Amino acid sequence: MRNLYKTFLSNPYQKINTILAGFIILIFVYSAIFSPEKNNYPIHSADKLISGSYSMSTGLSRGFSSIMRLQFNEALSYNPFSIRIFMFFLIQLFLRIFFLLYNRNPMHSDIRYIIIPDIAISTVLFIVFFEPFWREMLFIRW
Amino acid sequence: MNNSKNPSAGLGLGIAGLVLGIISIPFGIMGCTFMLALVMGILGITLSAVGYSQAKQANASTGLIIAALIISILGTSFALIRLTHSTSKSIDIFDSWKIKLEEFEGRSDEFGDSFENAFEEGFREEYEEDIDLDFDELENNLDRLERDLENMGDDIEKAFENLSDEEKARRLGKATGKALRGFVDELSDTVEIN
Repeated sequence: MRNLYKTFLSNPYQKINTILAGFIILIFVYSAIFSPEKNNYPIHSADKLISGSYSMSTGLSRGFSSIMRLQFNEALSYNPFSIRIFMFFLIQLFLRIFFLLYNRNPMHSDIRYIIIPDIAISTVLFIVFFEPFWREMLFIRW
Repeated sequence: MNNSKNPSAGLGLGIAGLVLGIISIPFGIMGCTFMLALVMGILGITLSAVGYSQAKQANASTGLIIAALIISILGTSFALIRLTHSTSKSIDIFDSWKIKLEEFEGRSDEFGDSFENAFEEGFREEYEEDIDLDFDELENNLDRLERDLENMGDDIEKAFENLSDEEKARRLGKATGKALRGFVDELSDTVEIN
């Protein structure tokens, strides 16, 4: 029990990592529970609700569900960026688990040497994997 | 003023704010989830701000809380950009539909006028006399007829309530026969006139 506390909740960084890992797992569970065939997702596209038109992220939930069912071609047909975004979350999950385990004994290491590479890696991954989305957002035609 | 040092003052709120802020960034950048990101971002800013004030009061470190505040503001900004974009798109769509509706209304008026003229012309050709058509009155009469038919339907339903199916069929058949007879008589008169 003490070891578990040390690993997951001993300092703010561990707590943040644990919560983020849990949140990513929740996304995957959400994708696994709801299916593209039934289209019974409780969260609807905000863009479609407001403007009535499709956006770049339309079909992402269905794409994630297809990936969870290992139907990759179907996922791409729902949203061409679904695998890319799914990969981002998957890599992030591995990173959270890696940093959680790596930082098991924070007293013995300077936390800055872990946090700074983590921030750098996560930022680069975000820029690379979300490239179509931020590019679209920055070059929006008003 | 409380100068006692509590190193973890506001830290819990800062952590919550940071997590919400981090999640709001990818969610805010996507068109489908920006409303979720907006809520998370605003919540993140609020929690971080409260955490910051608590940390300041207790002379605790504020590094993590400031990071939470900055990240939450970033996530909220992304969501706001998306919201503005989405709203402007919906206004564009509304405007284009308004223009289409106005065009249709214009065409509909033209169609109505053409129909009225053609109808009068056809009537004149057929009967060799002018007709003074009042379409509003015609419409009112049709509405009245529709209401009468509805009322009649209710009366028939009441009258037929306690009748057997056989009796219902007999009465309906008789009424239909009479109506058909009347219709044929009217039609014969019209043919005779022509």
